[in-house]
Amino acid sequence: MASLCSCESRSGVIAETECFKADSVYYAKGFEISRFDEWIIVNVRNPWDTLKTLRRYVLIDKNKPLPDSLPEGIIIRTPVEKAVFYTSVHASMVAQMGRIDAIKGVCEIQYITDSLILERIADGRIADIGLATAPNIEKIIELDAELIIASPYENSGYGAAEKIGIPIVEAADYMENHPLGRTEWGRFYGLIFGEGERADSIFFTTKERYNHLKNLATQSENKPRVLLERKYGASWIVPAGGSYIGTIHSDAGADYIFSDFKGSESVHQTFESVLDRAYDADIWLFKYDTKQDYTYDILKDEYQPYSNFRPFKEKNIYICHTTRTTYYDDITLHPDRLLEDLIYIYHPELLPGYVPRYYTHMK
Amino acid sequence: MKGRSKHIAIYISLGVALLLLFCGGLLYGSVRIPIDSILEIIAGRFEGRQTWVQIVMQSRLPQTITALFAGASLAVSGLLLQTLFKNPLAGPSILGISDGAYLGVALVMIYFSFNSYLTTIIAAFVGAAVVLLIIIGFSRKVKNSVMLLIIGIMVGYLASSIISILNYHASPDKVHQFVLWGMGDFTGVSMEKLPWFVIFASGGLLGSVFLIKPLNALLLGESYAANLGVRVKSIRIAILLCTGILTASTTAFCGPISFIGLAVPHIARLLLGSSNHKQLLPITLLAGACVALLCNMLTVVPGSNSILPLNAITPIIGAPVIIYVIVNRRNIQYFN
Repeated sequence: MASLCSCESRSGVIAETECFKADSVYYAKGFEISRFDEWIIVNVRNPWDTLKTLRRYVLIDKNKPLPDSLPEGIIIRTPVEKAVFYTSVHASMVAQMGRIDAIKGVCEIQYITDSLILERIADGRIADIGLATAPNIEKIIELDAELIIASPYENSGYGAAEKIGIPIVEAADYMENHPLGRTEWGRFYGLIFGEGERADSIFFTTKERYNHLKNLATQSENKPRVLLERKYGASWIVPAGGSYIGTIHSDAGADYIFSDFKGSESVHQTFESVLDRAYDADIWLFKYDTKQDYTYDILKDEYQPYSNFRPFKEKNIYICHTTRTTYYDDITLHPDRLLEDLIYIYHPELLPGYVPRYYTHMK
Repeated sequence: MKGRSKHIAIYISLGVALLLLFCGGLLYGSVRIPIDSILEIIAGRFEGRQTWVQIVMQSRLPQTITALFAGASLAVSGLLLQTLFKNPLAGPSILGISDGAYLGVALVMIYFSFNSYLTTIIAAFVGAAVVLLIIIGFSRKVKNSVMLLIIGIMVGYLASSIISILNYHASPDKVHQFVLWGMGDFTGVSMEKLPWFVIFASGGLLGSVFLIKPLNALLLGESYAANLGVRVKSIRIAILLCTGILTASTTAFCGPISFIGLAVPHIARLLLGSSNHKQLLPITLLAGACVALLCNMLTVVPGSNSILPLNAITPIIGAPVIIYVIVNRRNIQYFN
């Protein structure tokens, strides 16, 4: 699509003759890309108030001179060669695009499961910059980072990091409700690191594979009733039907018990209301990251009333260890892999011989 | 005689309130179950939906009994500490005992990532015991109770700073789990675990009954108590031990619960108008149970299936009482 436009710039209105082409964004609701001759503009929508723009980034090729008149927005010279990441997920995404060399620092290294990144942390090529909520600013300055990639939270800033003059990319992909919406954000990160085409190709491959698997799941008429997660403290936090997790389980051909909870936020439920609705579920899946692997005995020892659920009695519980598998590193760029696991659990006849990556049958 | 009939009236009204709140805990929850069904379930004659039987017998019943014992234990341990330290603001959460238990649990949850229930309980006991031993150790050197209270507060700060450092290195799932545990919870004790909690709590409560006389003597001052033949040193240790058992068992089973230990002794004194432990201790015990049962019911949001954190509810009842006591300090009989 090409059209004429006029844009505000620092020095006034840019000539109307300048053409731009908007990239089609398929699943993501949080950003849009417009290509101009000399730059690319990426508008990131405010995920909490979608009518507003959170940030506007202007990506300009490093190898070309800076144009005299620039549009309003945060200027990023691309490809970025030195970046720090507040989240392991984004570092892993950029590594998968082949730009691991651009990762100079990462927060909260204990969540990282990507072996190549871990190797570089071990030999000092990637620095540990502390907590995402309180990163080591001096270290970021010392690394001479050109860019910070951070996950935004509602109504909270980035403290001192905002004052050191390094542009911050607000990576709001986690707010997308469709799994492929999150994947699509990779296209934006690809542009930043000069791997736009590669990122596009990863996205389109994932998209095709995801939709192919989703179609495959529709071949089965059986829709198992699925219960997710477990009680923490007094609450059982249930993902809503419209959430990322709710969507992927429905796409895998499950009848997710709480799919009638509209919206995308998780809902705190009491144990008794979950038991009342889900006691006769067919399958129960939960994630954990304790040292000991869960067993039926341990689960019952943790809270005896868990044994009232039908999946417990019939031994239909599947569990995922989040730090021994690459679950969190993969789900953003490769939701198709999680979908494949889920289809295998719900409809094993559709994927004969498949070995699941994340979930295992609890013993 | 007038005093005696007043006491009887207080006992009867607290007893009735306790009974009503206990029944309320069984009847009221996020899933609506008709009263006649609940009565049949309790009588063991219900033949309808089995999930309702499980909800009442495996979820609501242990939860209500847990709230009852936790409230009584925290309130009594608060009273013992207030008398021992002669300070109306003493309480298990202020003296660092809950923090010690909290630290023990943080260590096993975050650092060792064990998920067995028993380890959590043992860890809470060990944590509380360590803090208590530290305080008992200092109590040999520091004679002044206010100074000892300050030492307790400092030990509590140390424990919380270690917890923060542990959180710094934990994964989000664990921090989440731990934060939710820190919000207090009467729902975590299943029918299987309940006897253990009841045994520990009853042990601590029974022990405190034997301390009534020396507690009254301590009210007159430590030297006066010594003159009356009270062995102040061993009584101090006995009080701290009792408090430790009560706080550690409650924290281990229900998480750190704020304000009940601090506020309920004041509610009891306001009701009674005196500080005689012969009446004050049982009334504190009953009032603590009532307050905890009430808080437990208030966590269930009417008309929804969700639940509020317990520690969001307890200050709503606790804080106004403390403010009232401080503002009216001069007019309240038991301060004079």
